[in-house]
Amino acid sequence: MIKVKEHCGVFASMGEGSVHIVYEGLKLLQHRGEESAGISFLNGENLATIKGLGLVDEAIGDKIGNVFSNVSIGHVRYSTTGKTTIDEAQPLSNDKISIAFNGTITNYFQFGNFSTDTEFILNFMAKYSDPLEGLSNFMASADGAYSMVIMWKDGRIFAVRDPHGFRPLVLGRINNNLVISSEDSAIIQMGGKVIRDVKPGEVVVFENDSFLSYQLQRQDIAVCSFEYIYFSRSDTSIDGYPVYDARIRLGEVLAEKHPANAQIVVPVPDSARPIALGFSRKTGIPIEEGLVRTLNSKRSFILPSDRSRVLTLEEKFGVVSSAIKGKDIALIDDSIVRGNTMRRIIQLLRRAGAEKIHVRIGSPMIRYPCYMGIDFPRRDQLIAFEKDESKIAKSIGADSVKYLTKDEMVEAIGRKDLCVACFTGKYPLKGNYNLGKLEVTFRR
Amino acid sequence: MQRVLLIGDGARENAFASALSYLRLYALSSFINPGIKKIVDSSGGKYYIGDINSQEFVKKVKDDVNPDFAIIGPEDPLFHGISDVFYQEGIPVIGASSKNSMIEKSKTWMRQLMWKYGIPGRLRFKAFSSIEDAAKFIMEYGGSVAVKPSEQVGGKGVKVVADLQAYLSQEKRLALSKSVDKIGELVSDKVKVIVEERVDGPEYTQHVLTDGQSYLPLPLAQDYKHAYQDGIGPETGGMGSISGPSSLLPFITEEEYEDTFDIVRQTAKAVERETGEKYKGFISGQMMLTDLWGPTVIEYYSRMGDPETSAIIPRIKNFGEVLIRAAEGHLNKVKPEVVETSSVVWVVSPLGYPLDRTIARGKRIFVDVKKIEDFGCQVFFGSTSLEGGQIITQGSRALELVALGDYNEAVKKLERCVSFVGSETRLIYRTDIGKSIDDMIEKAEIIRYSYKKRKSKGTLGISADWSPNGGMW
Repeated sequence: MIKVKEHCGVFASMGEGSVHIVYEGLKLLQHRGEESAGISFLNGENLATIKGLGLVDEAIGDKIGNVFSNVSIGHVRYSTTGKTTIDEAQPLSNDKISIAFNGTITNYFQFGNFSTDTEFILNFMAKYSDPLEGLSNFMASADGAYSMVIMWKDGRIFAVRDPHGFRPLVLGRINNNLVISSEDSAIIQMGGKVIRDVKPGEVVVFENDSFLSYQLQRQDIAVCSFEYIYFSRSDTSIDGYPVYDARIRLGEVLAEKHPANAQIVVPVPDSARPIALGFSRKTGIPIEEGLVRTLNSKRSFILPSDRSRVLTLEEKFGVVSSAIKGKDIALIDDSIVRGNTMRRIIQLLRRAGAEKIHVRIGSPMIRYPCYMGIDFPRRDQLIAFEKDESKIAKSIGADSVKYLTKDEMVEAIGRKDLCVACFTGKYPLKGNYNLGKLEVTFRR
Repeated sequence: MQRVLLIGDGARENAFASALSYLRLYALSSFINPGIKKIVDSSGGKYYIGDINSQEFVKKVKDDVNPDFAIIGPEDPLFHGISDVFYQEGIPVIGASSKNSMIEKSKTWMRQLMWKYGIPGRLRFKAFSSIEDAAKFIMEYGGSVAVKPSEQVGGKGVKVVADLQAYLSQEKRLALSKSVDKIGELVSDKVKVIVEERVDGPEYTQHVLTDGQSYLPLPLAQDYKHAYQDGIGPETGGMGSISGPSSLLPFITEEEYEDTFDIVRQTAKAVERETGEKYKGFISGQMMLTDLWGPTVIEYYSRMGDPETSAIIPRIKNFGEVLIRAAEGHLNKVKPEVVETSSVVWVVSPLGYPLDRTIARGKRIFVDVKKIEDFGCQVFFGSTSLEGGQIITQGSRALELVALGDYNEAVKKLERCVSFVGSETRLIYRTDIGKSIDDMIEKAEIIRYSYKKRKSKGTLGISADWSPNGGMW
């Protein structure tokens, strides 16, 4: 289901035909960012970059046919800071390094006046002749989430995952190419082999077709729970925990703790499907695919204001009225951020003849902004910010709304080292920041 | 603080641990080594006990520890692909890959490699898959040979046939073929034994550490193989060692040191060409100064020797740093700080070692570590396990005492310190180690005269023996 901005996806490769492997990899990470796409590669002694706005295909598809290099990195973007312009599309490079970055550097504004956090990283790293020394100092100074790949002019690639491990990052091999990907599913789909996850606080260096690891920092791990709930592909595993299994269990726990008096279970496609499946299995209530997501729908977040958001939504779902007419529905979604999409879906369902609509959400209420790589930055835009379940039900037009509690969610996902800041307001960051000030800094 | 995972359980690993004690030390052994445990505890690490040759188990421990780098001490884990577990995930590790450790595992492979690449210091050899053929060859050849198992079997089973005249009687010939049989039994490979031409001279070990780019030769050491005083008795893993002064030994010249380094380096590169994998870790030449070649290769280790390690590590002030840099592939960024002073190591073993380990096993020993340190020695624990507060022998060499100083001074320290080791069984150690230096200098001088002569005539490495049938090698 689509309502918050996804962050970004990165892909890197060393070996023959690396540019095309990165290109294919980016297409498989398309769900992580649809604003822009780009590839940097080693062109003889120099770094070169090709990038454009839009989906991977339209952004760079016709520009890479004849490009060959053994060292490449790539990026699909959804900006969490900055604006949607070609200048800020990634990879971002100077004559020495090129960076593809997924995350948010929470404290980048403390280091000077930069238009994006990626620009800050580029600036920071460019000061060092020894990349490892630079990365070591970077990890000591920077706060926030960063899973990134950095290509150095000498032909080395550095894959970096921040010490909390907020975002996933995976190391693998496709034929004879070494690769780094935001998600393991992309590597597997390309017929490659996953070697392992890059560890929190680790730097993996590709050099001369082999790789070496440096554990630069160790802190408490806090992997983004939203990667499990919504962002990552269902066929992805993060640090050995399969996303699909987590989603099924979210649905099962939801059914156990927050059942609904309904005749059918209807998922909001696509990411809520496994949650609905878990809910249906546990309750015995059959699933009906009452909502159809139209394939060519533009993602709603691309348009800036809330008003145009509501308008584009209308084009995104079709309703199977024969399946839902006269039925009491348990409507399952993974989360509600602003509530626009859910409000619209409920309108569509009612118009098609649904009776009762009980909304069940496979995650807790999102009450706080994220400064670790996800774009729901302002509290007053979050529907759960100052509302309880009954007020939210009223606001979106549902008969009832129930969420998982934080503890129920953690139990369902099955790992304890999760970041739950957007539910609790407790940020696993090094520094203490004034929330109001951050909201201004990260306003778009 | 950096985390290091150390794999192994002997005195060598205890010595590694002492050099790495300023990091957070995690260790994996098959029993609790009291010396390693002490350092693991004081550094805030964790001690894992289990099968050090099991890839699955090591993988599990590695995931649990998430080490910055790992170091593998003994050869068996290398043969079992334990270093590969780390290479596969890019975790820095000191330890040859399983393919490269073939240089130690198979003597046949090692000898073939040296001949194929024309590396100096090579000996003629013949490999036999049938014991009868080997025995027949030895008899027909008539010269002196060394018979060895074709695979590395932990220092066991080396039989040197020095004087064939002694085997002329029927019974003695029977005894010979029996002992060749015995050597063959130790080997699972098809090629059972190899027979090498026999050479004689002072032995020494040159350890070379490499990250695949640079090669760092460590100070030389000498290992005393025989179980009993004055070099008699069965061969063991080593009953003691000496190292120094500076990077040499008193009976090895600077030129021989450089020549040896060259041989080892050439071998590492030849291994790389054969296996297609960068040689990383230790490659150690077990050398002999012979009149045939000068520096001559007896065998190779794909790790550090034990007890040479105990003599070397206390002499390098920044050995921990050297290991870290080597693991990370930046060996060229560190210079080892070798102290001028030499060192002597005495190994203390329980009665029964090495012939009957059941007698040697399960005995309590008592070590007054504080007293030993007060009198200027260091203790590295070997084949002893900490069980219920007691130190119990495991059947092999129990501990190693190290003293620094000129040879006489070091031996005096050891004589005093060894009295602070007691046991309910008899303890065996050699008090001649570190004493016979002058004899070796003399022996080396004679050999040096011969091989230099060969060198000037251009006949280095050419054996001129005659056999009635000809072309036996």
